[in-house]
Amino acid sequence: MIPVTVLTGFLGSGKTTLLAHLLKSPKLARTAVIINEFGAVGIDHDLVEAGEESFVQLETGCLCCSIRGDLEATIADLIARRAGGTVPPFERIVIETSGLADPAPILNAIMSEGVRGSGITLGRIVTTVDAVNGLTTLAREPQSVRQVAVADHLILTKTDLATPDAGLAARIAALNGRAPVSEVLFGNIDADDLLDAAPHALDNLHLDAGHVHGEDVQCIVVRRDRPMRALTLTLLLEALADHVGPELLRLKGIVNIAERPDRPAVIHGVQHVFHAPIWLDKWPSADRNTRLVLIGRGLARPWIEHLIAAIDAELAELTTRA
Amino acid sequence: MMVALARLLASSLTLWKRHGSVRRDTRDAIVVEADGHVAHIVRAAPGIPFRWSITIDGRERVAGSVSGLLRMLRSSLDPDFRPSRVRIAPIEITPP
Repeated sequence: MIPVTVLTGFLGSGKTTLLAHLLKSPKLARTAVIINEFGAVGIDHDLVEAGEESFVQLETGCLCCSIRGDLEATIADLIARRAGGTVPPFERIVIETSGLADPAPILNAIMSEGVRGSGITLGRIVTTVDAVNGLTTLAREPQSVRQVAVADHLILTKTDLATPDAGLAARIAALNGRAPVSEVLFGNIDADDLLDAAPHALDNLHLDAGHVHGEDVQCIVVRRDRPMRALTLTLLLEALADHVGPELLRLKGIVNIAERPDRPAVIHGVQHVFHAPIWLDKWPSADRNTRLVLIGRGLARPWIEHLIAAIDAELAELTTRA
Repeated sequence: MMVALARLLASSLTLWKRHGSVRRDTRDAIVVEADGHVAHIVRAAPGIPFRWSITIDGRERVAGSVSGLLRMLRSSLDPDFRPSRVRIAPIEITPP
């Protein structure tokens, strides 16, 4: 599978600087870069120099709401050209989003391509936050809140210009307490720290926070100490897609499936699109509880817990009758 | 089952931002009243391939599962509801 790393962050937060630095690393040889820039004429791609085995493709003039179809087509085209040998045989894709982009449709596009069997999978989501303007931006720009909320790794930039204040740290922690935060100057960070972590990393599922509120985006954690039937999981995802799909920025989880409690299933979804579960060989820790992390708007943990309970009760009734 | 279902329906009204109530009418029936609509929910009669019978404003429908019931109920209560059908690669019920 080809991991697709998403590099997002608000305008001027240092995405291109970070990307330019990363692409100089030999560890990012064989990378296809897609840059989405708002405006009819892009310049970011001129600021990014790719190595011989990597290349940059530019998408302009659109935002997340209209890019989805374009992005899916671009990814599909890249995969086809890779198979045909007309582009270098890249081993990863990095997408730098427009600073104004809502990340959810972009993640959805990636997931959709994965579901179609194109051989890609959503990798890490890296979000840059400007230490100078970050707090103001988060207060004013809803898209920046979403960009922070969905991140797997947060990069605090421009710390040479301003010492990150406690307010910004608290705001970031409230929006996304799961993701590690790295202070990075001029994009100077080891590529391993950002891109080579396993897709669907589980490290940020080890959290105990019940839920963390932003004004707009919530993070809800559902824990369950009993194994879950595979069919319960299927019906749960179906109902989530039905009722909160458009508002679900991201779902990830590790699930103890009753049919195979020795092999945890990792699930991953955006809006109403989900990857098939990834079955781990063993539990990564002694904690064998099911943990679901949902990030989005208008979510309600009691509803999810009642939904699981009702589905469970229905399946138990059917099993008893059978 | 009916207790769990009634709890789910009550929290669903909140999630859907519908004003109303959920009560158990008899041991095996649930009544949902919301925004001028009335829904009676009972188990479907034996011998038919559905789990639930839902009579909403006098019109009877059937659903095959709790999630189908939810979809049907919300479709009747919320004119803006557009279900987003899940898109998922085939789930392997057990690991390979």
